[in-house]
Amino acid sequence: MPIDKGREFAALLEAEAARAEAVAEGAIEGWFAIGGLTMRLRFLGSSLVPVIAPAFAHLEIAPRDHAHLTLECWDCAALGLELPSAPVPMAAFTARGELQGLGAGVHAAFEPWGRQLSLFDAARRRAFFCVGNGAEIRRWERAEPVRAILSWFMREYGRQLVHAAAVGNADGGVLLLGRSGAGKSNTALGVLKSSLAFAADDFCAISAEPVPTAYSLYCTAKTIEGDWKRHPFLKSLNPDLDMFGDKTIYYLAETVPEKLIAEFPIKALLLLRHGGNACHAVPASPNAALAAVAPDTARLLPGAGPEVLHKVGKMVRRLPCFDFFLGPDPKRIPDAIEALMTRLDAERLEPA
Amino acid sequence: MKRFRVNVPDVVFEAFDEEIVLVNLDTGNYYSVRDTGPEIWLALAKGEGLEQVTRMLQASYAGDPDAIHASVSSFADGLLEAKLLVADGESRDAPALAPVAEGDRPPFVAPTLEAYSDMQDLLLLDPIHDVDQAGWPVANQA
Repeated sequence: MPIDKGREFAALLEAEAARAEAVAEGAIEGWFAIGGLTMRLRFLGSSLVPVIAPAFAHLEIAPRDHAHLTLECWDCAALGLELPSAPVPMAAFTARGELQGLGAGVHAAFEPWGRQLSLFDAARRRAFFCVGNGAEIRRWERAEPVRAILSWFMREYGRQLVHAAAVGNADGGVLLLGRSGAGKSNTALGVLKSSLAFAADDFCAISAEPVPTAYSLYCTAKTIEGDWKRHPFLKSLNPDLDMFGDKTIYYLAETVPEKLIAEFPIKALLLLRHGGNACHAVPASPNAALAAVAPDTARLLPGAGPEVLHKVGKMVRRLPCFDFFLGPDPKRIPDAIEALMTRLDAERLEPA
Repeated sequence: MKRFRVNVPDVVFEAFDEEIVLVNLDTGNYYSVRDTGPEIWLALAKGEGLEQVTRMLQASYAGDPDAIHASVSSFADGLLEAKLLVADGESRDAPALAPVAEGDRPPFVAPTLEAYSDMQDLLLLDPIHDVDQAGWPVANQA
């Protein structure tokens, strides 16, 4: 009888979670609505609560009868437990940390900093986030926790995580595309002073059907050190500064909860470009949008492969794409985004 | 006659009307294939032999057959060098294709393969270099 390594490892982690819960003498629970789906977070011990929960604070909901995913989290060091042994040899780890050879329906990945083990069991709608030592998790990862698990979870329900910022309102919004340094975070934070709302500054989920839709995952934003000094309004967002010059992190649910939005229909894709005499948009090809978002998305998500290109490819074919030149005055950017959306609405109503 | 296959699972691609975007997840490079490149890529990815693809293009486009042959071979070499395709043995000789009348054929435009390596540095931050006692990868502290 063939051994299903993935199923076996999922069962082992389930047993370890039960052991962690016994040691922790119970669980701390939180319920969240992510991408229109319900996630039940169970913390087995309190040490990972401040690491994971704040990033999802804007999506918290009252407990439900049913969860699309139950995710159990524990910190071995805090509970005096050991991380289980790796179920596959060194050669089975990819550069992105995923464990190959587990079989269908079970996905797992490992991140060395803090020794973070993520496992998703699709059939049982369960996931486990077990860390060797939560104190060693890198600071910026707290802004985007359990990303691999969210990626597998969302994919199971037809959504796709993408490396993009997202801003808009209930009528619709835009995805902001570009590599690190393109201006995604500052542009997304810039809308906090406009009538638009913030959904994401780095990663969001999308679905292409029936209407292309963006979903917020995290209420956090990250800027490079010193940006909060150049843009004084950022200081009012209570930035979490790092004494070693790491990125500045903003937990927006604490400071501007009314400016956060959980989801909106996507009206356009904007490829951020520095420069231009004024902030303006120029039509771009869908393949330019694909090239701007898909490679980074595939690189940053364990297990992401052809489906990233196919799903993002489907989305870019359905939406207008623009090179969006940021111009010299950041204050004008939110107005330019709103004007572009108004123009697109008008064109939809009165096609040329 | 040389045959190739897509270097899966490291290579993923998406085809548009006039361009194909490819990503090599192993090297961290991504690529744009244009002009006659998409036609050639799709045929090679389907397992058509190099010679057969060359003859197909010679029959479909106006131009010096030797130049078309050199161009297709050079393009295939580039795909191999970038590890987008890997050799997959030999296939049977390609049947000769009847060319379309010269006047009906568009001029041949050489395939282009443009490489972008700006995500390579990030990918090469691969933290996996050793394992701890429990068999898990150890972080590279450098």
